[in-house]
Amino acid sequence: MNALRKEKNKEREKRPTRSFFLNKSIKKILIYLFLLITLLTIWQILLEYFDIPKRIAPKPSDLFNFITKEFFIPHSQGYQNILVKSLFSLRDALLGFLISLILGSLIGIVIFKNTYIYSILFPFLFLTQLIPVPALAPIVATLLGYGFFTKIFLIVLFCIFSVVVSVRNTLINLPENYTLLLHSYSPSRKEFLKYLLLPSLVPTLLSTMKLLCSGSIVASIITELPLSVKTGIGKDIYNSFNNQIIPRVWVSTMLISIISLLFFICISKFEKYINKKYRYGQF
Amino acid sequence: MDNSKAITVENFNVLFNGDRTKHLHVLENISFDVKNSSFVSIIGPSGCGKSTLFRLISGLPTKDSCEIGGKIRIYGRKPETASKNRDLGLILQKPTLLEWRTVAENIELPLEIMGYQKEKRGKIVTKLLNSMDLTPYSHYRPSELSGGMQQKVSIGRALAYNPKLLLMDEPFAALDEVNRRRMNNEIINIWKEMNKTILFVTHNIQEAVYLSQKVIVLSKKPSTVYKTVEIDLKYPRNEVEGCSKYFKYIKEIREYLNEASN
Repeated sequence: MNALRKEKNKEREKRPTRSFFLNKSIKKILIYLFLLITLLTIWQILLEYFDIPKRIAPKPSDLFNFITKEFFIPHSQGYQNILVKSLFSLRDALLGFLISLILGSLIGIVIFKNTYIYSILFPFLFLTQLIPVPALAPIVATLLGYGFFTKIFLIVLFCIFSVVVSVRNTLINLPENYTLLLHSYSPSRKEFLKYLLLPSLVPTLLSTMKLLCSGSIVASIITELPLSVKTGIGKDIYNSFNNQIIPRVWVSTMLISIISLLFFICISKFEKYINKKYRYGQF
Repeated sequence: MDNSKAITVENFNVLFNGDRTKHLHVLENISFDVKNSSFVSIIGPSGCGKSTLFRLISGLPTKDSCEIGGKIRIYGRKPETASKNRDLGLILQKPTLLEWRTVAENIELPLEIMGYQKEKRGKIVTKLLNSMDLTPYSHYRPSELSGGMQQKVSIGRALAYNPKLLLMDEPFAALDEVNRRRMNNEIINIWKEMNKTILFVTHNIQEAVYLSQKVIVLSKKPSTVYKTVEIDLKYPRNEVEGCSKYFKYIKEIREYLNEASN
């Protein structure tokens, strides 16, 4: 036993050890950090050199001061910092995202199965995409009210089209031999859906989710402007801009970008995991 | 109902009325029988409508622009009814396996759809995996298998619910010569041991002669039954493969095919 252990240890010693700087992900992070610090330094120097006022473009030091005030100095009770407001916007975006995904898939399947419904429904869906959400929001708000439900409705309206189109296209392009084979077993509609249609849709839905994650956040922020929602980062950016608190606008925008990026990374990892493990929709 | 006949095709006509293919007569007065427990091949020039005929015999949905005349009966029933009655099993040109299911789960698929109990499903799948030497691969994904093995799984899947008739549409077309011959022998064994009726569509003359008791030669479009050749050779065919009679059949069918293509 001891001899075996010794041999194993010797083998381990022989193996080339990874140096800290050879680790790709650490190297990548260091490069990003270096680039960020360089960019911030150039930015600071340029603004100071040309003496550009804060209301036009804040310096990194202004942004840093704002972050310190916003997150590290105690505020009055009931004060919501921009992170909390962003999370409220994210919550609404997530809700809209989920509804769009489920409802869009259902509509996509229905219009794939029934060309009559497709010919009636599709022009309306397409029309909703031609009108920008901020223009549509007041009309919807007068009909449904100025609150939460209108916001969710508008996010869904903004996101659903891409889901419907990609679901329908995937189903139309299913390899014919698979549909014929399933037909030969005389399945019910439910079984056809369970054994072929839904598994085939998984990769499409996962990649559409990546599109939706930024789309739903954008929609959530845009729809806050014309509506009277109390919490949300979109409304906060709008008010901060009106009150000329430009560093707040900048930091809020950066925060949204970071949240969108994290959301996107999570969905990408999830997509990779599901596609690798289950291989749904791979023909 | 004549129980000795598995398939009856009588004066069967198919006309396509598509935008580009106006009044394209694909099949014209096709008539033939396939006896119960026999092995029959259909051979014809490329694009003569073999696959259309296969699809209609299988009871699969046709295009809206397709006009059909005449009749097809599978054990005295319409193909759609026979399909619902689990009388026929399909083996397509491509293995058509679901990548998100393992080999065992792919074989289990028709049983699941047809509502078999889980325990019974398990027994059938285990038996099939054993008889087809697929047990070591039961947990493999289809893409991890070779083309021949994938087609073997698709044959196993078609056999799972024990249909009386197997319809095969050029199932070994994509295989190399060695694997094709191996699969030909396997399918002959299945046919003999399980007492199935097989209708085999191919464009390979040697394969048709090697496998079948009867070869139906179709002409070019509009396709008709040009000739029917009875193959009077003993099984196993690998023992008679080198004999002059075997080559005579190949030559005869090749000549018919040449004539039918002109």
